[in-house]
Amino acid sequence: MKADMKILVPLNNERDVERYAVAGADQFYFGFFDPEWTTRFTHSADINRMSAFGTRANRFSFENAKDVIRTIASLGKDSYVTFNANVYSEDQIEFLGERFYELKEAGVTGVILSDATLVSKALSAGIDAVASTMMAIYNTDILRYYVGKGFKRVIVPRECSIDDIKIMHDAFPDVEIEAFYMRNGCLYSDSNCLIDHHFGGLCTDLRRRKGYLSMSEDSAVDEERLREALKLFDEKLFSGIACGHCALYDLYHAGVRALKIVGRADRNDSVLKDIETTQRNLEVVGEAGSKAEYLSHMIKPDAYCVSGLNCYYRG
Amino acid sequence: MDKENALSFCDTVFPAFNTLMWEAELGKRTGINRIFVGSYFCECYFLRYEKFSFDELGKWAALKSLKVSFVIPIVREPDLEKAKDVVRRALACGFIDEVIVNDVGMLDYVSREYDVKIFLGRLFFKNTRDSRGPFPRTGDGINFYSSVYNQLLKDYAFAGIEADAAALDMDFEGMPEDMVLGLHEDLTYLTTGRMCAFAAAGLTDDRKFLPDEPCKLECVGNAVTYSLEGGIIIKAGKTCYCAARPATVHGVTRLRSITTVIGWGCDYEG
Repeated sequence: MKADMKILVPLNNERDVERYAVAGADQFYFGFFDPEWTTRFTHSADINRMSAFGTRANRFSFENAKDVIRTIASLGKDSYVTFNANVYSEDQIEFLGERFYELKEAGVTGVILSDATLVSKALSAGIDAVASTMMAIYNTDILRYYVGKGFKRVIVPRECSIDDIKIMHDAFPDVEIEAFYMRNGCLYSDSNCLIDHHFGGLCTDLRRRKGYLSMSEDSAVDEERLREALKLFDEKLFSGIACGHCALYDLYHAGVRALKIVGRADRNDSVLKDIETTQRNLEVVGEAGSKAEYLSHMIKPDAYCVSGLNCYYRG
Repeated sequence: MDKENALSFCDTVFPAFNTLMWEAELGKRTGINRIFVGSYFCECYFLRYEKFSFDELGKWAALKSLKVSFVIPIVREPDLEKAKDVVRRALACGFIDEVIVNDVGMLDYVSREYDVKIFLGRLFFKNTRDSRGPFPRTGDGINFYSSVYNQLLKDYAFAGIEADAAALDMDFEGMPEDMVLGLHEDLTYLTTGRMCAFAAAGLTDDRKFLPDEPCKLECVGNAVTYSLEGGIIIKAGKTCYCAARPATVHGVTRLRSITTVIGWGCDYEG
């Protein structure tokens, strides 16, 4: 029996809905582009954090997005639309509030928000509000504030450990916790990364650059070890892929109920493979009586383990 | 416009009071009337303040007629109570008149527990701050006094907000007149790592790059500079900075200019 955890997957092609669902996807998330938004607020204003990647990450227009939501609903699955840009102005918040009503009419389950002022708009429209990693929910004090604002589900930052997550779950057992699980594991903190992806991500850009190390005269750090560590960080760490399979048993017992597979701009076949593996491993978790039993029966995607540094929840 | 000048000793120098070095840094500048201690970006660094000589700092600051702000970073769950202990210890000394918080949890805690002025730090408003590429992409046209602040004002009192000089024209229309804008004018924050590359230098291979692994402050005094089209990026500890913009601010009546002591082994001219 499959453990009670939802597999949340990125969607950039409507034709993938059915095969992703058959493979095990329970929930879908995506963003949209909106010419009306661009006309009104210019290209400088993002609807979501992936707007900088253009239609590669946001394939759907607003009208397409509503069709996709209907398709997903017809299969009995959940849909979430991302509104997690760095900043929204008051005008933009009003604009999005109107869009929420249309999304609700199409049957959307929830919206992923980076701005707490959007919560009341979502709740007014009858849509669930999900706190994006942009909300930087690193501890129970921060979580308490956002729960008070009406969030029923939160995405915990990638750098939260399983112990951190368990403490948050125990403090707020009614809040649904979504955790990062597969694919791109950015080196930087989603919650506080304020670079502009229109110019490329630092995580990939700095890999191609030679850095100049400057050390103070009284630095106590061994220069060779420091250079080695910096090189490893820039060149090897999370080189495009990240994985949480070995931690699945612990994530389940920590209270995580939604597993986020990222990669809205990734190849569909790769995403599909990750859904299949996750589904299989959820079945193993459901049957396993212990972590050791899970680890001995789980599918281990060897390709992800090459550097030994690609684990989301290495402990 | 009222203007105040602050010097930050946060994150880039060893978190211990050092009269000689601190006076030397003050001597390089004129008109400084406030200093910042604490951390914006790193809880490992911040927790070192549990052994900081606050009394010594208080006496020195009084002698120099300096006001002192205490900066608190976002901390992860395991360090939350330890961080609160540090805050308690710092504020018990009585001379810190202002706390700068960077998340709503700490804003709530400090508001409830202490009678002290609160500023919302540079991580509260998440506008992009990238020196690469042309200016308009990264902030011109954005109202930096966002609805987020108005929502927070319904629940909390705060005396000011902070921003990084990241655009040519920074509009703060709507900001209450008595509110202070603290503007970081030399180094602009860009991003922070999930884990620290510098700390890895002091760790065994199996512990490298774990977000919660305690460090030995390998970051202090060291930095890496990368040249990119349109600017440079400086990686210091977990944090990446770029050069600030020569910004003009609008809609502000009380401005605080903030510069940061550069603790690594080269001169950096922003």
